[in-house]
Amino acid sequence: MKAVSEKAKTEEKKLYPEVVGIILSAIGVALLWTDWSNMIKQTMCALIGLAGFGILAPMMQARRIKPAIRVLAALLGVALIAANVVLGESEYGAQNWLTIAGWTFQPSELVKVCVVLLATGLTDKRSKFRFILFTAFSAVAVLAMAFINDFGSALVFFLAYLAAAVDNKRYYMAGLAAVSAGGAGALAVKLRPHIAARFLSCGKAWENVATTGYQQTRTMIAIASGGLVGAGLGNGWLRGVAAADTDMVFGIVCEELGLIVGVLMIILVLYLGVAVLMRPSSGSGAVAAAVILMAQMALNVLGSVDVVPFTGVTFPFVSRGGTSVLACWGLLAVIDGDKNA
Amino acid sequence: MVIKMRKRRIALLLIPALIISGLAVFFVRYAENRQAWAMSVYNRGIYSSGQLITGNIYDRNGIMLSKVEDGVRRFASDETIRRATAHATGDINGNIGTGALKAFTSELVGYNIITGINNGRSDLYLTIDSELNRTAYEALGGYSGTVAVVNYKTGEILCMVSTPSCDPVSSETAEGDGVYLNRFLSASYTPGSVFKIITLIAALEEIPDIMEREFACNGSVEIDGEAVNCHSVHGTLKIEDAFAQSCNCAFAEIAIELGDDTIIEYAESLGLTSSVDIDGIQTASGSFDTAENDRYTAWLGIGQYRDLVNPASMLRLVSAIANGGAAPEFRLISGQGTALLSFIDAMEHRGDRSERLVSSATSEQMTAMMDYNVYSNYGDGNFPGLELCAKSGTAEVGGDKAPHSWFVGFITNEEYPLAFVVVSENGGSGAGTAGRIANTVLQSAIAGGE
Repeated sequence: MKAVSEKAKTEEKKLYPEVVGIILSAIGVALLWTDWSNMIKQTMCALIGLAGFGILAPMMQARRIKPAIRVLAALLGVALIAANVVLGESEYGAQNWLTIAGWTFQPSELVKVCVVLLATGLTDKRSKFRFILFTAFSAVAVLAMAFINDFGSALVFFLAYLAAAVDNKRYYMAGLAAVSAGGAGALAVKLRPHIAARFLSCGKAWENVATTGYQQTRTMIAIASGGLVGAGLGNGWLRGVAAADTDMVFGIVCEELGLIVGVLMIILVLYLGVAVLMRPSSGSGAVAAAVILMAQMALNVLGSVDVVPFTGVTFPFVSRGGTSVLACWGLLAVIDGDKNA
Repeated sequence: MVIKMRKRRIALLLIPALIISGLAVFFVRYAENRQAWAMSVYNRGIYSSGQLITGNIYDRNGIMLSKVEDGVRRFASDETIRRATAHATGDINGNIGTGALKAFTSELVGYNIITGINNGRSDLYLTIDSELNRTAYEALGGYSGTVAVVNYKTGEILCMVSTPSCDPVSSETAEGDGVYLNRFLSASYTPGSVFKIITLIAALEEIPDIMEREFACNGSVEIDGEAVNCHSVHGTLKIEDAFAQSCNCAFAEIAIELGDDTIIEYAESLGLTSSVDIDGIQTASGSFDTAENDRYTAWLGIGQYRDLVNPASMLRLVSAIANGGAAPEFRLISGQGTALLSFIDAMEHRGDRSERLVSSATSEQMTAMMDYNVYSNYGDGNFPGLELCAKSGTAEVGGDKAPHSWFVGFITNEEYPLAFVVVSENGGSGAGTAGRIANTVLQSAIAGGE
């Protein structure tokens, strides 16, 4: 068994996840061409993220620091969730913003890094305690996100948990989680009718062009307007729609840079995600990180074009938002660093 | 890599598989609806408070009909030109559904899959001649109705006027009966005697000795115990005179001999019951009812009864007769601003897209008889120099209203391959009112070098 994995390791092609991160970050920065202050901020965060990636990825491979990293991640994660629930400010429905000394950031984005750090090492034979800790933390994270109305993030955390549970051969845990999440979801829908309305309006964007389908119809119009090659950077109008540069960023890319670039962005994320899943040496944390990146991309793109409910999840690296970019680089570091020997 | 993948992770591939299915759903929708999405009135790239802010419309000679200046849509400066071309161009409020501003939005914007709505220049050239439209508009002289002229070789519609019209710049709702309706494209009228063209074509093909027959007309014929009146006492006459004099007695006899089913079959095969596709605009289609007795069959063949005919389909039929039996594909778009768009358009319309309606033998016979109509009845002197073939119609519309006046036909001169239809509502005599309008418009078309 060990010989096989050794052999696999030597034959395995090296993944360069940072290349995906750099390309997508560059697109994200380029989109802010008309918005200098945010462009500088986004660039700074991307560079800090890249530097953080350079530090965190090698640290992940150092066996002795791993337990310490996990403890830190758990503590930081709990603190972030608590801060988010207690102090969070709401913007466009979800209460997921925090302002500290003039800086606004999204704690839930950083919690994603904590989750994947806690998901590392679950394939280890002595991982029972780790798994319990991870389960407890994920449950708290999912419930907290649902509590602050950020259903997109709740779903992302839930999928990350499923991925790690399956990776840990605990299919029964995954099943139990799915059933309880389904039950909790049904309860939430029953308790909060406006959420049910949002989910039920999915697929009917063109019937509600002024209300629940506003963002999705504008995104589809923009995508079709851009054709295959786009109108050119800064020449679109979708960027003028509120929060378009985060929630409808796929539409902005298609309108200004063309559908081809938009599709390439999707392919990049899917390629990286699938490659991580198929790479034998990927650790459970790397798998969870890959699932988070893919899920975010899919919720962002498909939500903005009315295939799934619109949840306001960010497109990894591309959506405007410093915390999101930093978190995505954190996820990449885990993808690169979390490998089983 | 697939073989070495950890087995327990195969289940996780469900996630990318679901994502790809979701993307597939989107791309299928995109392929089907991209044009409709891009042309949405909510597209801020091309609309501003409900106004299309991109795309200039010119007539075939490059005369501006509508253009955008500083983000505001403007129209021709001459009010008569504006009213005469309103139905072709469309109006600022988008009330005229078949106008270019509504019907050719995609062409106006120059939408294509490669550059989307951003093709830099967006000019649309219509086939109509705005001066000819003005002449037709003025010739109608207050009558409600329509005038259209088409080149029967190329199918280009050179003149298309519908009255009453409106001023397309006015944001107020126009007064009048159906001002936003393009009567050429979207109305159906009782055809009256112009329908005898259809009955005659059927007779030429179904009754072998029709050319030798003699018909007797003493001003009226009794069928099923009631009189079918003719407008004159024609005495004994052959088919060409029966057609030229539009003798109801003769055509009642022919109609009963053919039977209502045969007449309706011919109306269908000659295109009168289907809608004509003009660059994507669907015209209204005519309709006919089977007759429950011979008297109704007679009126069906005479063009009364419950017959309804759309002027565009009538024009298409006479164009086919003029063109040796093949109806040309009608066009309203003559060109687009960029080479790429013109190329795409040329590819879409390449090859012979005409449709045979009548055999060439029948079309020759019909041409001869419609030529004889003008010579023997309408008077060559009323259409100087036109080499005209025509048929008039005076359609009774019931009550004490004056009948609708129809005049349809074509010019045989190869240099001016023009076919036309004129309808003036409650205009009285077909050859009189509509015939005069047709002459004015055709003289102007020839003088203008169409």
